[in-house]
Amino acid sequence: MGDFFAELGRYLGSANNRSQFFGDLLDHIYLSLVPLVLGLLIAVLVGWLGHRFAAARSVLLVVSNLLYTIPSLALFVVIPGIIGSKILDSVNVIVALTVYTAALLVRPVLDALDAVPPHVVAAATAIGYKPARRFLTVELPLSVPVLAAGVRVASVSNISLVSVGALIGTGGLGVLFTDGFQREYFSPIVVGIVATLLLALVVDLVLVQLRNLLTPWDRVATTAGAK
Amino acid sequence: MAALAAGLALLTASCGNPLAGGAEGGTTGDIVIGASDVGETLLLAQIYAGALRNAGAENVTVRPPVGSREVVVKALQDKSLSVVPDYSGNLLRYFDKDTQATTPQDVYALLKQKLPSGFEVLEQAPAEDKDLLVVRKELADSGVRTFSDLGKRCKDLVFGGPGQWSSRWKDKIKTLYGCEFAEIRTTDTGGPVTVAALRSGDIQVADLFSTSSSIAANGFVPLVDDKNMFPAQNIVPLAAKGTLSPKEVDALNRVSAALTTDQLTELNVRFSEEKRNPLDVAEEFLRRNNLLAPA
Amino acid sequence: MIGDVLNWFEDPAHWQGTDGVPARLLQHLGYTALALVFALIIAIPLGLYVGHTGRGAVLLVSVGNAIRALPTLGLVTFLFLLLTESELSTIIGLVVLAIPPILAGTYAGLQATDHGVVDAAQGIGMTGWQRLWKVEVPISLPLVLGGVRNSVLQLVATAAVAAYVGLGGLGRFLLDGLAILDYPQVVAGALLTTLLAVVLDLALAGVQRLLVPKGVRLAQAASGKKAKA
Repeated sequence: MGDFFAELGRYLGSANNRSQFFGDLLDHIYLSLVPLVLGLLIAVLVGWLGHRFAAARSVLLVVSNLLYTIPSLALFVVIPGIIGSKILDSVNVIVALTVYTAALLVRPVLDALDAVPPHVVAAATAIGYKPARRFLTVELPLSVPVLAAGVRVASVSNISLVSVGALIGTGGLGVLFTDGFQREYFSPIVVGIVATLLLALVVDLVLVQLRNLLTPWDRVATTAGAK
Repeated sequence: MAALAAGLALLTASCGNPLAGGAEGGTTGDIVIGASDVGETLLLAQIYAGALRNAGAENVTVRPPVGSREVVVKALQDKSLSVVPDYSGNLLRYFDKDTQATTPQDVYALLKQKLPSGFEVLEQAPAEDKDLLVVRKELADSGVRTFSDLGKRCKDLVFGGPGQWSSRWKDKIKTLYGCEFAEIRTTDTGGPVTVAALRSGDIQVADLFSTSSSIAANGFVPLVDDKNMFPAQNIVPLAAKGTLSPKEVDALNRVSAALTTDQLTELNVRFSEEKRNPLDVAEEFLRRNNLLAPA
Repeated sequence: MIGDVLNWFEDPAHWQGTDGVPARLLQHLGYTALALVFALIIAIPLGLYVGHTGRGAVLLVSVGNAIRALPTLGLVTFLFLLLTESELSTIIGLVVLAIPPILAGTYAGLQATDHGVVDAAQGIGMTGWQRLWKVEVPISLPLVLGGVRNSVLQLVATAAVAAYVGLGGLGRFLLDGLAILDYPQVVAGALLTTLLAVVLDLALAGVQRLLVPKGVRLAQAASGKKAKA
């Protein structure tokens, strides 16, 4: 055990190790957060379609369920063939994770839109909001709490899955695992695991803050109730 | 809410993908050095990178290992990579499966002939890293010292090696040594899975590499290739044509000239046994061989 | 491309021996089943205890989330280096990753049981054990089984990744094919792995239909409709 800590010390002591780690961390953040945003946008779009057109709804649910069932490595490896990207291009990971995020979030979007009280929708229409404005400024904001829960799950999932991308030559913290494994070297693996966990925690906290920021009426309601 | 989403999307789009990047090289392009699934190629890639930076190349990056030669060749073809450290013998066999060349000079000469357009090889290093068939001490002590000795016992033995070993060598080892293994199992490319499997006895014969530090570290015994099935494997940079300037080619040639098998073995010990960072090990090598001095 | 993949499947050599589809499929199924059994043994009693008594709920949720965030590749490589044995280290890793969804499902299921119903059960004289097995468990079954389904998907996906540390199973087609850019093999592996996941998921959906008592299903459908109206 003491050996391990000595080895960890030597690993962290090397400036080159540290700078490579930070590079990998930045790549990892990029690779997990971009799909989160893109996936959310797609899910909102698709969810709106399902909400508006009942026929589309069941199809969308089945398709998104199916997409989410595809095992991660399987999706990563077939995407270059489908979108014609270069084999080493990290866009493969981004596309795959966007698909997962969108598939995961379609149901929460539908549920959230369904849960918007009809009288609120009616009121908005009554004061003259066109459908688009109503959607963007009334229904969507009211969906934020439910969406936020889904986005938090998706973010943890993405952050964990990006490291699998190391198996198809992508960067990110996964490189620490493959390098550590090849050289039978514990330190990069442990550092990689801890960094991934911390990253997931930090992103989760940020998302919670974001959610609170976007739903000021919840806070007002509580203080009003307290009075 | 909408503004936030739109803003984020715009931000990410404008940032661009920090991981994308061509490797067209040349005087204004980036140079991307790749590594294959053989562990030491990452180290060699860092050595090449150091030499190129010293020769004045800007924007030299080293990619994490990508896979076997098939992936590497494809990546060089679509210029995702500029140059990769490779092994002369296996590289020749990749482009000419039936070649009979075995000596370093023959292999290199034929390699230059058989290389498709779009690729070029620079000068090869004296250093070699050959495939070895390795067994545990007990088996060696029971009279298996050469490949010929092995040939008679193969049908009772399980072999472990890289996935591509079977398609490359299964026929040749049968023709030359009459060896047909009871089972050819895919472990990995001279890595920890192979070593662990040999150690535990799951496999009795393993394909490891001559500069690998795990052979000595585990007390394994390499067998003698008495009929020269495995050809010479000199370290040679394989490049996509047109990605390197003459000055850069010169820098890599000087690296190759200085790289001997002993040095490579020593580098492997520093990298894999002592677990030092490859950039540090590369820098030391370059410094020790006076390759960091101005050209 | 599709033609190449079909050719791969039609080649009889790919269906025989230790590298053949049946062997790899059975291996993959085996790892999944084994890990699932262990995960069930650990997660369900734990989830039932925490859900029924309410003690340790916060700890449970936090630990569950932390484990969900564990990177698969990191976990299997770490365990392999620790135990230097492909199968044992992978099974342990699989069990660890399979526990959180089942735990969460069990706990959520018990939590979701209407307190009124539980109260009524206590009112008619049911003991703690009786309440648990006759009331709470049947009502929470949909959520528990939902957790199990999630777990199985996680297992199939993770077992594929574990091919990297030398494990057998369908991941071998993915990684070995990828290493030499044998795309038909890679796509075949991807298809087989996905098919396995889909089939298992459908099977579990079927089990859910069978096990969940009709009364519970009707009640949940009714309450679902009420919320929408």
